[in-house]
Amino acid sequence: MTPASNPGGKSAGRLILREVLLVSVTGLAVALLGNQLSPRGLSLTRNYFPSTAAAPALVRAVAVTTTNQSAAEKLAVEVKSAGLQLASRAQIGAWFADPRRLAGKIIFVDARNETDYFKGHIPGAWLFDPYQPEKYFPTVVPACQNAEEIVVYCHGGDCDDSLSAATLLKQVGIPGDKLHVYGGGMGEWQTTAQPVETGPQNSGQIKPVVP
Amino acid sequence: MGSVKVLHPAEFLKIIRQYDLVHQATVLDALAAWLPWFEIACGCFLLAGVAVRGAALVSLVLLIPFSAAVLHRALAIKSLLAISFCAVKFDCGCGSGEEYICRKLLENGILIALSAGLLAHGGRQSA
Repeated sequence: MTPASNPGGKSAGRLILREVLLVSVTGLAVALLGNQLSPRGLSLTRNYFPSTAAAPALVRAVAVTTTNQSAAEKLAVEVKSAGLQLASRAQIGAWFADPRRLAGKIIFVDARNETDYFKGHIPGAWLFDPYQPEKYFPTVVPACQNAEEIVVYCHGGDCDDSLSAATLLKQVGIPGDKLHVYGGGMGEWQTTAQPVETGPQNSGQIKPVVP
Repeated sequence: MGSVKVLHPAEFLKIIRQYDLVHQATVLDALAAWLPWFEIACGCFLLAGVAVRGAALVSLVLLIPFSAAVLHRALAIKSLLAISFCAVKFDCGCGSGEEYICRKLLENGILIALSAGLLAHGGRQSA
């Protein structure tokens, strides 16, 4: 359209193409450099969704629908196919009350990001954001090696970051038979009036339990 | 908008995965890692008034398929929830959080029109 409306149509077209090239090359350079230098940059060689799972359910927090049931069923299948264990709410409650938890033999691993973790997590849980695994491996892996049972959770619902985190831990040598994915996640934990710790791990800032 | 995604690339990665259009991990990672920075660079060109028509054309090339993908997903959600089209609300990965689809498409339509306008007339001074 522009070349036609311009007396020097061809040269205008060439100018636009040169500009496109300039913008594209600069944009790509900025993108490469920006991602490389950003502390939150993504690695291009990692599969952040290592499970066999396809994309999560279409609708996320759009409305409360019947997708919750299917999300739970889907997670159960994916957990099993990844060689991991699925933990029920009752099992989680029992492990949380188990004295072995205080000795580090039963640990909880929070697979959400730092912001969500600081807002509230299962008391004593380890933070392990599966999108920045290198940052957390040095602390979380030894804790997992020392533990007999590991519970990995995220938000719950159609969130599958717990599955990704558990799969990553399995890939670095943590046996799958002690990695339990808690599908209900933080959402279920809070709605069943369980204690929530805010701030860093073992901060002692426990939100009161609301029955 | 790009700046929001630059600050939270993992969230952006999760959102674009929900479109279920790209299945290769490397491509998905590259899109989530690079696209926000690329958008910022493109926006800087437009704001600075440098290579305006080129930047406008690149914006168009990005905006049109993005809008089509957003529309496609909105139609799928509409069908899934059996609600009216304009009641569909979701986070499209556009950097503005959850938004009603009609508003989002209107915004994109305006951006496409502006980019087209810049492409047609934006380079007169520099040319």
